[in-house]
Amino acid sequence: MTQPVIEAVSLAKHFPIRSKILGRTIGHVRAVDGVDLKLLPGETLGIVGESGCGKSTLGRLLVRLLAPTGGDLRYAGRTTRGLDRAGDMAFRRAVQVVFQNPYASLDSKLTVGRILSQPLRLHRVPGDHGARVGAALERVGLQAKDAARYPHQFSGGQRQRIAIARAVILEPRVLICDEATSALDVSVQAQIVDLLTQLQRETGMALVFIAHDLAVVERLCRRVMVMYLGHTMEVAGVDALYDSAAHPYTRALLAAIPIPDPAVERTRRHAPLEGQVPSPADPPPGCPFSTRCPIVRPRCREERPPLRELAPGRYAACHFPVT
Amino acid sequence: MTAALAGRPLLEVRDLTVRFGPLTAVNAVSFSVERGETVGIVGESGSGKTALAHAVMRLHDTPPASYPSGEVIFEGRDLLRLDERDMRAVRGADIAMIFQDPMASLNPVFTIGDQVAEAVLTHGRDGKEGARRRTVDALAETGLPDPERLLDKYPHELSGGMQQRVMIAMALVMRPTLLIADEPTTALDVTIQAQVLSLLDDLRRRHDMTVLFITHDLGALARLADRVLVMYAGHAVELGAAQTVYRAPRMPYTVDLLAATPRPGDRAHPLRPIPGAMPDLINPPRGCPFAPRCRSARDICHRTKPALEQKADGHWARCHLEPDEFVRSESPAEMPA
Repeated sequence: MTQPVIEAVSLAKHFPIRSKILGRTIGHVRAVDGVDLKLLPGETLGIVGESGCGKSTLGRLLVRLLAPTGGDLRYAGRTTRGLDRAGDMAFRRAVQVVFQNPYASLDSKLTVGRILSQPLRLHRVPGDHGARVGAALERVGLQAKDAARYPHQFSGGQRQRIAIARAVILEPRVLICDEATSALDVSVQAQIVDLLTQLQRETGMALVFIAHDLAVVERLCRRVMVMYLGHTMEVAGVDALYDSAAHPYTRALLAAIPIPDPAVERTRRHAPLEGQVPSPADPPPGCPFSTRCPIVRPRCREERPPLRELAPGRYAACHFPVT
Repeated sequence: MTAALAGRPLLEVRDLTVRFGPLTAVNAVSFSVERGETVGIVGESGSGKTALAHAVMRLHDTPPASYPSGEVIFEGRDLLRLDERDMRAVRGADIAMIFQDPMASLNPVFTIGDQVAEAVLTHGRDGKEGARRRTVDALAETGLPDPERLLDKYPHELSGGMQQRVMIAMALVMRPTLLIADEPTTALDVTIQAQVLSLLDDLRRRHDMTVLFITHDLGALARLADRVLVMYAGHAVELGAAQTVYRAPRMPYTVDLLAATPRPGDRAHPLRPIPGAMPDLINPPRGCPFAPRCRSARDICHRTKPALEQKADGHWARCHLEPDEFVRSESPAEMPA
């Protein structure tokens, strides 16, 4: 069996809630609450869910911008706990990230060339940095001469291309994109989806695409994981997940996406999910989705369903999955 | 309604131009909204859709904004020529608006009850007790549980979806004739977006309300709009019945926008990006505003700007070409017909 490039084992991140006066810990926000995940080399994995589901926290755990409060993150089969400096540098070189806001993630005082050569200097990469920067810019659809310009001279889509160029210049094994196309217009979003698909195919790097937009994930990823209140609700191949979701939450999410066709949309039955996501500081006992689930039964409110394999490669955390 | 206004559209925008200094945000746009219909205005950032909606409500500060041309006729009066006092009477009472970000639109230091009742008291139609009753009714209508108790709550005590319902209650409390919804679901999660779209759909049917729905989302628009106005770089580029515009667009920008929008369940076709970016609105191209990005563009498109023409009954488009002249894919192999 292929060894996962990244593996999360019961990975958790609980943020303490401190009282205002004494600063004592009075509770925890369970942002990520025990997630298992194996990312294989070269695969494209989508992580979807609504605000507060923990997908961005999980992304930050996967690139080690946050330290887990429980569980383990493994890189190439080895734990990343207590990594020495060399091990840490090797990890950071191999696992790169692109964030949502290309306005905030690029230093406005530096030229694009300087921004792109920073990782090369940091990792003491030998050779002609200028040539590598030019090549990286061309790979993302910009021009080598753009290295002399500043971030504000580019449009939002072009800035996201620069952020992607910076992330791939070290030829990482894993690229994690956290809502990388969410701030863009659809015409430009499609450009970036195209670019990521192409880069992923050329380099064979693994791609983790974290997004709230299920329709974009459907186009980009082969495997998709659905999160809710810090837990994995369902993981499956894209066809299985979108055509016959097993978890009622996945079904509700998919049913909520409006279809860009008035003839379909106006004859479709709309039964939106009621209520909202409970607070991750005070999750319901039992299944996290039990407070909104349309097919909830008494057992769901008492006992949290584990993530079970329903069919090869297909997992759901539900006592009563739709099969 | 007086006899003279019968049969006239509720809102008629004629040749409206909105400028911010040297930048033309809205360029000679004309369209109308009939009573009881929902017109959707769709476009990407910089298309001018929000500047246009705000001009109807006259929300722009002048300067920096100016209206070098145009009229906004609402129930027989040109809103651009009303004095500020008369315009205040129209805002909130006859035309109400909901905005994208409820957190930014609600005042954090006033209770929900005070904020919703404010419109009622401003327009002076009821006393305090009447205002309270109207407020509770409006909150209840948007599906908020226990509206009596909500009156004393502050905005931060509510979730994003509930805040947007409060915004809707605030807009509806005076029973406006026209509701302008500016990206009302953009900041919301998909399940909450579905709730809010269902609510708007339900309310407009129940009250026979006229709605101007502004969005960048072709999906949300498909749910509500009877007619669609597509904007690009400040121009109205296509206008027609929603089904026709989506199924048989007459402007390559609309064709491309649809092809770039992911349609859930359709994995077979790759998304087709539109190359390039929106043109500079200070120095716009001489010809068609979309020509620099248009796969179908010919010489004439770069030379002369096409007019918004009626291509079929009630279907208008700004394009020199006929649909059979549109280039629909890069290569025949990439996107089968």
